[in-house]
Formats: sequence, structure tokens, C-alpha cells
Amino acid sequence: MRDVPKRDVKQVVYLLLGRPFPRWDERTLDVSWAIVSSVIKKLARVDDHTLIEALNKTGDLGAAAEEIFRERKLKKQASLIDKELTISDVARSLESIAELVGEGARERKERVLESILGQADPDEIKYLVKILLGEMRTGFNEGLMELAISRAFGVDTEVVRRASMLSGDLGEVAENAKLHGSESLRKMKFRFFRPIRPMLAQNAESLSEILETHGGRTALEFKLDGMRVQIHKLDDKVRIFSRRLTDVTSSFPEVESTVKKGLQAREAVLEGEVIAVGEDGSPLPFQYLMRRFRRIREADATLRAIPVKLFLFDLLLVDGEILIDSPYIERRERLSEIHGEIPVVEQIITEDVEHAKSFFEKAIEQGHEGIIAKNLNSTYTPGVRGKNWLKLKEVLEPLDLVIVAAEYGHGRRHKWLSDYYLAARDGEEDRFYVVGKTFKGLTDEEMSELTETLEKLAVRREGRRVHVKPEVVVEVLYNEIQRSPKYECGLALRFARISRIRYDKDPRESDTIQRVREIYEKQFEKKSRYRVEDRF
Amino acid sequence: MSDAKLLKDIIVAIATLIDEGTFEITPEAINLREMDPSRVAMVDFQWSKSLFDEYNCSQPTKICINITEMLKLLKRAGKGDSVELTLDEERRRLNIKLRGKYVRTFSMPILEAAVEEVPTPKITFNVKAKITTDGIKEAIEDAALVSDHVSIEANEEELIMRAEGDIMGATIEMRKGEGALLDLEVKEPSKATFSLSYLSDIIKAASATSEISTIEFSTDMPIKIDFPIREGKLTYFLAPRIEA
Repeated sequence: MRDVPKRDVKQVVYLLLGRPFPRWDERTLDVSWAIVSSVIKKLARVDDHTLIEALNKTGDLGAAAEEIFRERKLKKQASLIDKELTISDVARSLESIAELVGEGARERKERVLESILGQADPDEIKYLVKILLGEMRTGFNEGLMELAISRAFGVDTEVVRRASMLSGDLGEVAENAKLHGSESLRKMKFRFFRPIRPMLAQNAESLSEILETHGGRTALEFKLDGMRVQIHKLDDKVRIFSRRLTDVTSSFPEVESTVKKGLQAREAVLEGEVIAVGEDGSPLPFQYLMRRFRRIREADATLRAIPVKLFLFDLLLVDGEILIDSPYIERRERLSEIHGEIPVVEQIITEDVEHAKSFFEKAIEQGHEGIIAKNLNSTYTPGVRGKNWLKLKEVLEPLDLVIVAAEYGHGRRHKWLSDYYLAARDGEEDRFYVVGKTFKGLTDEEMSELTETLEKLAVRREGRRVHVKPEVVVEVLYNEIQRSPKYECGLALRFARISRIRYDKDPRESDTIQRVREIYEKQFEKKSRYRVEDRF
Repeated sequence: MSDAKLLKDIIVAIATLIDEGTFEITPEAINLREMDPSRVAMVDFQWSKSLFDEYNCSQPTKICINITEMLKLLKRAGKGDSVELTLDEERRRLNIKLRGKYVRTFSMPILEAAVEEVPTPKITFNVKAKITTDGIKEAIEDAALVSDHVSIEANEEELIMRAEGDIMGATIEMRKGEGALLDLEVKEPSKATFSLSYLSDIIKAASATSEISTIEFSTDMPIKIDFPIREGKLTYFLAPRIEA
């Protein structure tokens, strides 16, 4: 960042973060894997077979392209004219790709891609492909970029963090730091409709641990099982952002109008949870909310079928006043002054474990996920998962499931069978039903060991997937059991992760599909059921 | 112009390297000079106005065309069809009128032109060989049987192509004045290696435009392949593979 020309620093920041544009920018490249791979094949003059071979060796398209072009360079194919690809060339190409829509857009995108990738070195190709496909996966994130900017330009880290948080644009922050120094960063203002990264909660084990961590007194809020949203309101304009900071306003028109009409403030940045509710007003399982994100054409019908409701829980800005440095208790107080008709998440402040326990039980009783505890004096720290917010959820009993197939992973995990199909045994017939798939929970060592074991049990291969004899039992944690058309049994574990490998356990002692159904049914003792279709 | 086939053959020859290209149209001639996306090969084409039965251009203009699409349209031309190209500047479209047993008019969009100017490579060539197009086409096909690259070398008497594959090899010798090699001028014995995939595409695509072709090269420098066409030029440059 120090060495690049002034005009390029912004773009360098976005590219290093693996993005074509700043985070708040709604433009998308809309470049598919198929387009990129066909361009690579064409430029390198290789066939499908060569590409697939490189993919199997490397695990992702960026690295495969690098490999192919390096190989080609080994053969020393010279170019007629050597022209260095510049950052501004790349920036211009990315912009023109984003502008291409409608008929013939795919072909025009291909031409632009051919032209930039045609000028790039093998290692440039690798990262360009990753950026084009949104698969940077370098582990380099915004937090590290803030540190880098602070060091590169000698600006205090806190000043960088704050400027980044308010402006939502690290490119602008870096540019200001390079051109005008520290003082200009202090002057950077909050920009509406550029979402702030959400503050996150750590997991807690118990209520007593929570009280102790928060110094004996804490605020507890229901943890709703919905979608966390950040809402920006400026006069008559309201935008809703998801936890991943994408604009989801069009999926929640009634939330937009509720805020427009109900909020008693001209300007505000709010946080809340949107949940799907049943006919009696009690919460529905999370998956029903996700139906909102299906094809747009269906949006109207879906809207009528599944009503949603917004519950507010935090206030980060109100009428020109930024509240992120104010303590939680004050922010909540200010929220209570302006929320009007819009409900806020139920909350108590307590010093007493018993009181906390009955509040937790009430949350579970009403069909919520659990509780979040918030340190009364804590400020809002965007993007940070700290101890000031702690979450406690009802734990569903772990299941012992059997691995019936596995897939080789991508990137760093390409050498390992790292994505596992988890199955429950049929207690009546001699067969297994897949109920989930996960790549979470195991260490590198365990994965490598498990790969060896599974390879010995292999019965059939389909591309990267290996079907194995049902021998290995794993203990699996999950957040919920959902209905799902994906698997034959009609059920799927949500957020499944492997807690340990049970080499000691016989697959015949593993949990049954009947047991999985029982747990699924049990969820509805508290949660509202969505019509009769859910019944088995 | 009275023969649509002439235009089709040229577009075939251009389409082998590029999908999209910018024609520069001046009161005197039509020009196109483009590199393939990976910048390994270039096509340099010109047709002077005298080739056409009728040619009207009052001021120079550039039009960027999807060559692949244009070729599809031109392939519809029947034997003996005449062709008329007109630019509708207002609607930013190129109209292609084919006249035969009946009249067909296709129209296609003018695209946003790329800004980049393509310079001509400046190379001193030490070898110049005039070969029948059929002869060089056959030789390239022979070499492509055994390998994906071919070395071309020349001394005063002969031109030799060598292809070494993993298993098989091929040597093709052409003596000056005998058979395919019509003429050979050598300032300095030279040798260079080229990708057969490019070389065979270029020669195949351009073979319909001329019965004779001229190649010029120097050691480890790009090769220039020239197809003398009526009232114009069709020249290719191809970058070499540099053997370690």
C-alpha cells in the first residue's frame, strides 16, 4: 500500500480483501465458474481433461489456472507484445464486467475476461480467478487490513478502526491515510446505507459463568431464532441489511414499512431480529424464514403464507448522534424512547442465577433458541466476538451417526476427505439414511487420519466423492432438525458439526432414523408448527 | 462486392484468432489489426477500396464487430451471391445485404470498441521463403501428427521442419526450387519453434485466400506469415516458443 501509486491504493485494498468493489457497493460481477473455466481453457489452449486434472491436484479453480499457465510458461510460449497488467487495467475490467447485463452479456464478459487474464502472469491469474469467483480464502480479513493500514501509514489503530467502521470503506480509509494522514481519518463520517459489521457473541457454558464474567450483574435478552438484521433509516428511506451485510430490503417489505411508519426518529441505525411467526404469533423454525429468499416471482405468495415480525434490540445511531461508544444500558434506554409500536426483544437485568434461570427457561418455553447476556457497561465493538456478549443455547442431545460417503475438500483441504455425509441407521431395516453433511469440527490431524481410514473402506467413486462402507461412527452436534427435501428421509440436521470420532463405537450401536424423527417431533412441543404439512 | 465468398474467406481467416475485432474504415481502405486474447498471435488485414465494386466512405470511422456472429451470417451466402455492407450510424448497426436468388438483409450491432492500439512488431527477418499454401498446410498436418510444437529452420538450400513428440518424431524437408518451396532467401541460417495449435489454425483458416504464402523468420523471433491477396494484405505474426 505504501509503494503503489496514490490512485491505485483504494483498489489494492479491495483486491487484497478478495473483492472487486468496496463492501457496501451493490454491484456484482455475476461471473460463473463455467465462464471462467471456459476462458482459461481457451487462453491456455487446453481441454477439459487437463483442467480437471489440475483441479483435482490443486482443489480450486484459481490454483488450477495458475498451474496450467505455469506449465504453459515452462514450454516458454512467448507473447508478441509484453505489457504489464496494471491495477487500473484490472479495476476498469471489473467495472465493465459488472456493467454488462442482458442479452449477450455472457459473451461480452468472456471477452473482457480473456483480455485481462491473457495479460496476466500465472500468479496474477490465480488471484484474479479467486477474486472473480469470490473465493479468495487467504484468511486475510478486514481486521488485519485495518492493522496493515495503521502500520503502513503510521496511524493509530483505533483511529483506523473507527474510520473504517463509520465509513464502511477500507479503501477510502487507506487512501485518506496515504494522502492526508491521521487527521483526515478522524474526520471521516458515518455513511448511511453502508452497513456496520455486527458485534458478535461468544458461547457460554452456564448462567453462573455469565454472571461471573459480567461482574455479577448482567442484562439477559431472548435469543430469537430468526435472521439478525441491521436497519438504516434516513428520513423516508429504509434499508435492511443481513448479518453478512447484504441488502435484503426487498425480501422484507413489511419490515421496511413497519420501521418507516413506526419508528419515532428521523435517522437511526438499529439492530434487530426478524422471525417467522405462526398463526398464533409464536415463532416458527428458522427454515421457514429462509423461504423468503427463494425466487423473486414467488415472493408475493410466500409473503402471504409466512408472516414475519421484527424485534429490535440495539440502537447504534439516532438523529445524528453516534451511540456505539455509549454503554449498552444507555443504548437500550435510548432505544426504548424511539421504538414506538415496534416490539423490542424481551430483556431483564439481574444479579441472581435463579432469576436468570427462570428467564432462560421462559425463552426456551416460548420456542426461542436461548438467551444472550450483555455486559451493561460495554460499548458496541463492530465485528468483534468478545466476552461482553455471551450466548447460551439449549443443547440438543448429540447424535452418533455413521459416515457413508465423503468428498475431497477445496483449497487447503484438497488432499483430505473433509466433507462427510452423515447417516442414521434404520432400526427396522438394514440400511442407512443420510441426514446431513458437514466439514466442520475436526482438526487437520483427525481429517488426515480419517481420510486414510475411509479410503480403505471405499466402495465406489464419483468424481471427488467416495462412497464408503458404513463403519466409522462420529458424534455429531447440531442446532436443529429440519424438514428437507434434500435427503430421502425428509429430514436434515442444521449446522451439523462433528464433536469427536467414535472409533470405539460399532455402527450397529449408532442412533437410528426413528430417534432423529423423535427429536424432530419434540421440537414442536414449544415451537409453532407450520400447518399440517410438517407432520409425518 | 460481387462475390460474397471473398468476404467470407477473409472473415474465416480473421475469426480463427479473435471473436471480436475493430475494423478501421478510411476513404481508401478497410483495415483490421488485432491480437488474439493471449497475445501470442496477430492478424493484420487490409483491403483497398479498389477491390470493391462500390466503396463509399467520407470520413474515417472505427467499428467493432462480433466476428464470430458475422461469420455465421456470411456462411448463409449462396454460390455467386453478391454482398453489400452498410453502416447505420444512427442505430449503431451494420447491415449485411446478400443478393442471390433473392435478397436477404441481416443487421448486427456495433460494439463498444476497445481503446488499445495494436502496434506492428518490428523484426528483422533473416529468412524469407515462398511456399505453396497446400505445401505448408500438408507439412503442418504432418508435424501435428506427432507433436504440439514444431521447429522451423533454414539454410541456403533447404527449409526443414522438425517435430518431436513424446513417442514419435517427424522431419519435413523442402528443397529450394523443388515442389512446394518456390523460393528461399537466407541472410543467416535461422531456427525457431512454434506452437502447432496456433500454426495449424492460422494456415487452415487462411488457406482459402491464396495459393501461395510467404513465411519470414529469424532465430527465436516471431514468424510472419503472409498470404498475398488481391488489392490488400493478410499477414499473421506468431510468437515463438523459446526452448531452454
